[in-house]
Amino acid sequence: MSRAHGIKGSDEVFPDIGLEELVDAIKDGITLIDRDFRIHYTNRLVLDMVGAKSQDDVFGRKCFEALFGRRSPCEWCNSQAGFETGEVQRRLASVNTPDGMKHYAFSAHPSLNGKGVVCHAVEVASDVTEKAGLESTIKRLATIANSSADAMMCVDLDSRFEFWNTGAEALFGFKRDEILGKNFHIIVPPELREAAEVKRRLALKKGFVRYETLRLKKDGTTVPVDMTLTVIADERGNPTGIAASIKDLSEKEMVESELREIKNHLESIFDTIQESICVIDKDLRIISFNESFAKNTGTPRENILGNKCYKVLHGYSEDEFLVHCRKHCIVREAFETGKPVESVHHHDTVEGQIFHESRALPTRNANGETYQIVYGINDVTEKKEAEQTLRFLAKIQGQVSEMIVTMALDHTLLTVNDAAQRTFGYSEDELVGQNASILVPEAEMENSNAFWDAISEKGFVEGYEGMRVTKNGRRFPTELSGVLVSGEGGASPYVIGVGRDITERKKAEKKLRDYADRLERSNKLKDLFADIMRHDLLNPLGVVKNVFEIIEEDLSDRGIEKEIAMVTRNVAKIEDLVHSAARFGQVESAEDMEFKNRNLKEILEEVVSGLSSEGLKKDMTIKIFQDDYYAETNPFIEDVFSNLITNAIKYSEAGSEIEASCEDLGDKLMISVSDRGMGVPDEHKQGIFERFKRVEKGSVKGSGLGLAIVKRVVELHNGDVWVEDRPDGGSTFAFTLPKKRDKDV
Amino acid sequence: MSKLVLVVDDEEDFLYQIKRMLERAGLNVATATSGMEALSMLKDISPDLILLDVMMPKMTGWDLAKTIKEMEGFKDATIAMLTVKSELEDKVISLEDSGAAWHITKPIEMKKFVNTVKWLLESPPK
Repeated sequence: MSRAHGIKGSDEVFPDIGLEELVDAIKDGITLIDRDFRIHYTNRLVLDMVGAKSQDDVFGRKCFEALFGRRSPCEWCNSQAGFETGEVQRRLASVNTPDGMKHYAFSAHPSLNGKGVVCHAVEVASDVTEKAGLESTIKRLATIANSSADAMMCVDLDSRFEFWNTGAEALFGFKRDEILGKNFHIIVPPELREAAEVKRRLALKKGFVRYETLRLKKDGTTVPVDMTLTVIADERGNPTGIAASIKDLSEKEMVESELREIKNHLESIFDTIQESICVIDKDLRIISFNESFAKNTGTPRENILGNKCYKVLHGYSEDEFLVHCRKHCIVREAFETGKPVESVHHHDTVEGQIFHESRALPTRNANGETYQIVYGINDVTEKKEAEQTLRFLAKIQGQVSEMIVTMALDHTLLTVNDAAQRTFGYSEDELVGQNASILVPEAEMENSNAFWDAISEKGFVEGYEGMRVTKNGRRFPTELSGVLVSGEGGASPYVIGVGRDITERKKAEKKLRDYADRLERSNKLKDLFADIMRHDLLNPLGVVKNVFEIIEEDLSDRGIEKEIAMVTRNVAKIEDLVHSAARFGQVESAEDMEFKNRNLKEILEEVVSGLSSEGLKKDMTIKIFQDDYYAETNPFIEDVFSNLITNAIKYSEAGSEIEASCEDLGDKLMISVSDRGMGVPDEHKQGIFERFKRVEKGSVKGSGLGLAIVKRVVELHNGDVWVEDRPDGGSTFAFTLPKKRDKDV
Repeated sequence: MSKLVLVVDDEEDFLYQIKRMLERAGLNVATATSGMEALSMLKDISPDLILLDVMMPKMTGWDLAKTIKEMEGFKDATIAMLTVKSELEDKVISLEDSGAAWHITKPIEMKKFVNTVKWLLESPPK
């Protein structure tokens, strides 16, 4: 074999050591390529694979073209990556060859030249087609065998189980794990083991045996089976084991499996039913139950089956059962009477009362004896609640004073409550089925249509007012509310109308309106009156006073000094009263007087200096505070000071002291005026600020309006006013004034 | 020669009161109970001070004041309103619109009123 022939220009890769023969002997395909994918060498296997006779046929050709007939590098090509990374690359690929689809494990081994550069790659292709085929077949068969309902198993030549499928597990009761590696005698009844051995040998000899026999299950019972034994051989035809397919022949098993199917079917139906159902046998044990039952009893499934019904349903012990279930148990009753029994009862739970409707249906055997009870429980709480609500509503409907009617969308009256019947004077029979328009006066039809328009637009109406007419023609105003109720469960939608006879309210409204009118008139009257007092009353009084003053001198020395003084005094009294009454009227309507930051000291000084001669006549000492205190006040604040000071003078002994002080309380000021007077009894401390009150009528001169004016003005300033006793006699009148006017108050 | 004061008011008692008061103070007083009467009197007399009530039937004191001011020889006459009208606006009408020199509010207190009248006669505000 010429080495030059095979490895042209590749001496550095394949030194001449007769390697070529060695490479040819390898069962894998080997190809040496350069970075341009040109073939430098292939071994025999590759040549055979592509049908080439010699190296010359492939030398220098691109590998993908020469080996696979492609125009561009193969998508599975490892060499490319090998050239780039310098590392061995492996990949599995399926390749279409003249012999059909082949599976190869390709590996590319990059090789470096003397300079450390990757210049070639040795591509090794191992044909794994056969292996891959076998593997997939085995997998497929195992899957089939495993999932087969038929029992299938394999034993090796030593009669030990190598394979045991799901069907076998089901038939014999042995799990795969516990039987693999065991001798097959484990499933053969002892008396048949010899015969089984004979059949096994026969199978090995003939390759195939089928016969009927008995086999032993894990639970010790036997089962009639149809056995098919097939020998498993290797490629050379040497037996490696025996496969057995076993069919259960027992009729019982067949019937049972059918029954099982039916039962499963029924159970699945059973389970989808919302009603809780269980089957109870004569011993009161639950022998079957559905999902809903398990859920509603809240008992783990394993604690239901086979347990006494009273234990599961009520948690009763046997003793408790004897006490509680004797009389009421419908299961017992059904057993005793053989007839279905129903009952509705309620339980109190933490979530409130729940209602159960239970039924016991006896099942009879062929002899007509009741042998079990199908017991069903339905939670009818919602239904009961709905019923209760309905009853409640019906009761309300009857009792309420509101008229309640329901109407179909075509205005047909469906129901009318007692109040509606009473008010309209129709009986229920006369109204139900009639068009609701019989309750509407002719002239109101348009208005009534507005009600219905609103219902169909918004679904409800509130506070609609309109006239309605009774059977005997009395028309009365009503206030109506209506709501559209969509029918549930296919029922037609309807309208609930709630109405009230508002005749009384209308009357009251009119009264109120009249009252407001009167009030306004009286307000105007009050203003007029204040005006009259200020001008028309004071004016003639002024004339009296002045004229009297003029003639007073002419009357002197006539011995009527006392009478003259009396007239003068009383004229002054009238004047004072009229003045303060007029002032009070002004203050009362002085909501929007202008508020300004004013110095209280200055105001007080002005008030004191302008005091009437009467105060000064009493020779009082008036001490006022000397610091400046500012607050936002309106002009009426003067009246507060003057009234308090004037009062203090009036109610004090001549020559005593009056003191006005001011205290800064942060956001407000507190002003007090103290006197040494008679004091204010506790029971009058509140009322003294009310209009027209005086401590003792007639004891002191004064309008009785002074303190009312004080109170009103202080309130206008959002302050408080009060009176307290001084510790050493006399009173202190105090009031607070916020420094800033809070407009929101 | 004592000064002459014309007082016009529809209320006779009030007029009488004023007359007595001012006469006591040594003044001559003429009275009229209506605007028309006053105007007719002014053809014959030239008062040093004219006191006018505002609210009178037919012609208000304000209109009367304006009319008097337009009469020949009365352009500089001293007129004062004597009225129950006490609001600021009323005073403005009296002093600005009707050309009065002063505005006295009823009811009056004798001493104060007499002092005011004397002051108006001696140094009337222009």
